Amino acid sequence: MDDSYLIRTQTPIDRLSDDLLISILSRFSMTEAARTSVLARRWRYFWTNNRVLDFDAVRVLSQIEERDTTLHNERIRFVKWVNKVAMLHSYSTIDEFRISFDLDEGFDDHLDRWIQFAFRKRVKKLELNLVKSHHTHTQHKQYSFPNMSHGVSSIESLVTLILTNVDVTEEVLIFFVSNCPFLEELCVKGSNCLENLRTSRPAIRLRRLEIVDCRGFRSLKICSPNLISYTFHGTNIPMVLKNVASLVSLSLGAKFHGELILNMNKISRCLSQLETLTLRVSEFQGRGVILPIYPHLPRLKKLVIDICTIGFETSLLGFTRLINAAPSLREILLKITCSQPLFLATIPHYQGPMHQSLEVLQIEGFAGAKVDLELALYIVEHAVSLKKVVIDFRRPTGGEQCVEMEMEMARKGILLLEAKLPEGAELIIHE
Amino acid sequence: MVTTDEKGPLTAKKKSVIIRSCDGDEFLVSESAAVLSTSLKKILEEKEDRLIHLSDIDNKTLAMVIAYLSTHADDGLSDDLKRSFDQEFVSGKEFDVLKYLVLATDTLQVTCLCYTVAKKMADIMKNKLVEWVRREFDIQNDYTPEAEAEIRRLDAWAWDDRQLEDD
Repeated sequence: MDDSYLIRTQTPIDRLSDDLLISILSRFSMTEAARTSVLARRWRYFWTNNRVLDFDAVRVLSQIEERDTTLHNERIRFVKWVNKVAMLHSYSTIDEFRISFDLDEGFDDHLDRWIQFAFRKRVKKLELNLVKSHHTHTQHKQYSFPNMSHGVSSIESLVTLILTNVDVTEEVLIFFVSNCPFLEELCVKGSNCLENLRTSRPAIRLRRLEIVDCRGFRSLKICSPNLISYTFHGTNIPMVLKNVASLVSLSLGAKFHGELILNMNKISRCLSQLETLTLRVSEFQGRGVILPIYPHLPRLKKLVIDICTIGFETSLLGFTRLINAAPSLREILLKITCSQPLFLATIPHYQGPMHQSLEVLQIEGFAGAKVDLELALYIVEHAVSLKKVVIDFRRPTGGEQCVEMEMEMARKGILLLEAKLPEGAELIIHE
Repeated sequence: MVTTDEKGPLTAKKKSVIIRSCDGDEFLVSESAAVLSTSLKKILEEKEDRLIHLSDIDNKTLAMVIAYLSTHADDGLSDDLKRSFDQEFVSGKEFDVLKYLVLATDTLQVTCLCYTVAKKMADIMKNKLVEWVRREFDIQNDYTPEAEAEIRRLDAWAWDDRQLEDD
C-alpha cells in the first residue's frame, strides 16, 4: 500500500474545500452568509465569495415607520451594503446577481456600476427588481438600463435577464438577444420606454419570454423555435409569434377581457399545442357568455383563471366553454377577486357536457360570492373524475362587522360545494 | 472482510475495486461506480493497484457513499429514479451523519452528491446561531471579544431582528 494514495485531512470544518463551502454559502441569503464572518478569522471575508449575490431588502420597506427611519436612509444603507460586498468579492465569477429594493433614477450611478460588476464577473442570471413602496415619490423617474453597446465579450455568459420597473429600450433587449448565445430567459416588467420587440433573426436559445405591464408597448414580432413559455400582459397590440413549435405555456393578461381575447386570437395557431394556459383580467365586467368560441385545446393540462371582477351582474360562466374545449385538462386554478360588495345569490344548476379528465380544482381566495361560487359549482358538478378540491379563503377586506359576514359567506359557499362533490373527491381547506 | 456491492452480484467481466475504510472494512465496488468519484478515478488512472485505502472515511459513511455511487452507475435506472433516490438519500439523516457525509463527498470529489449534500447542509444551517455553528462544526473562535463585537457592529445589517435558533 503506497502512502501517497491515502487521502489525508484535518479537523472537520477545515477539511472542507473552499469550493464546497462556497457552494453551501451560496444557498444562504446574503444576510445569512454575512453572519458567518464572526465564526472565526478564516471566515471573516469568506462569505463575500458567494456565487449568488442576492441583495434583497424589500422587507425593510414595510418597516420604515416602526424603525423610525426614512426611505432615504434605508436607500443609503442598501447602497453601502451592495458596494461593500462588490468591493470585497474576489471570486472571478458569479452565478446570480439580484437587486431587490426601492431605487429610482437618483441611484443610476450605483446601478450602472453594479451592472458592470455583474458582467465583469460573467454573471449568468441578472435581476433588477426595483420595487415601488408607498414611500416612493411618483414624480421621480425610473432607472434606465444603460446602453450596452460596449464590451460584448463580458455578457456572453448571460442566461437569464429579469428587469422590473426598469426603463429598458428595444435596442438594449435586441442587443442581449443577438449577443448572448446562452440567453434563455428574458422578462421585462413595467418598462416605460419599451415600444416594440422585433427580432430580425430567430432567437434560437430563448425559452421564456415575458413582457408585462409595459406602458406604451406597441408591437411584438418574434421568431423563436425553442420558446417554451410566453407571457404577455398588456393592451391589444399587433403580435406575431413565428415558428414557436416548442411553446407549451402561455400567459395572457389585460385590463379588459376583450383585449385579452383579441390578443389570443392573434396567436390562435399555437393554441392547440399548449399544456398550460393562464388568463388574467384586472377589470372583468359583464356576462362572460358573449365570449367568442374558443379554439380547441387538445393538450391543455392546466388552466389558471386569475380575474378581478367589477359590477354586480358579472358572471364567469363563459369560461366553461374554455374548459369544455380542453378534453385533457387535469387541473384548474381559480384566483378570483371581486372589487364590488359581495353577495350570495341562489345559484341554479347549469346544464353542460361532463368533463372526463379534470382531477384537481384549486381556489385561491375563495369568497363564496356569486361570481366565484357559480363557476366553482359548475366545475364540481361537471367533472366526473374530480379527485381533489383545494380551497384557501379570501382575506377579509372590510371592518370587523364585514369580516364576520365575509367569513359566513365563505363557510356557506364551502357547504354548497361540499354537497356537490363527486364521490371519492377530497376537500382540503386552508384557512 | 469483503462486503459485496449492494446492487446485485458483480459479473466477472466487470472490473472492480476494493475500497478500505479507516476502520479496516473493505468494500467491493464496480469500477464504473468508483470513477464517479474524481479522486478515486485519478488514483485508478495512476495506479494498477485495485485496493484503495481511505484513511479518514469511516465504515458507515463509506457504505453510504458507495450505495450512492452504485445507484448512479446503474444504467438500468432512469434519471427520475436516481433523482428521487438523491432526495431520500439525505432526507432522514441526522446532522452528525451528514457532517461526515459532506466531508467524505468533498474528499472523494463526487460532484453530483456534493450538490445534494450542500443543499441539505445549507437548509440545516439556515437561521442558526453562530454559537451553534461553531459547536457543531468544531470551529475554534480565534477572535477577541472586542474584534467580534466590532465585526457585528460593522455588519449590523446582517443581524437585524432575526430569530436565530440554537438547536
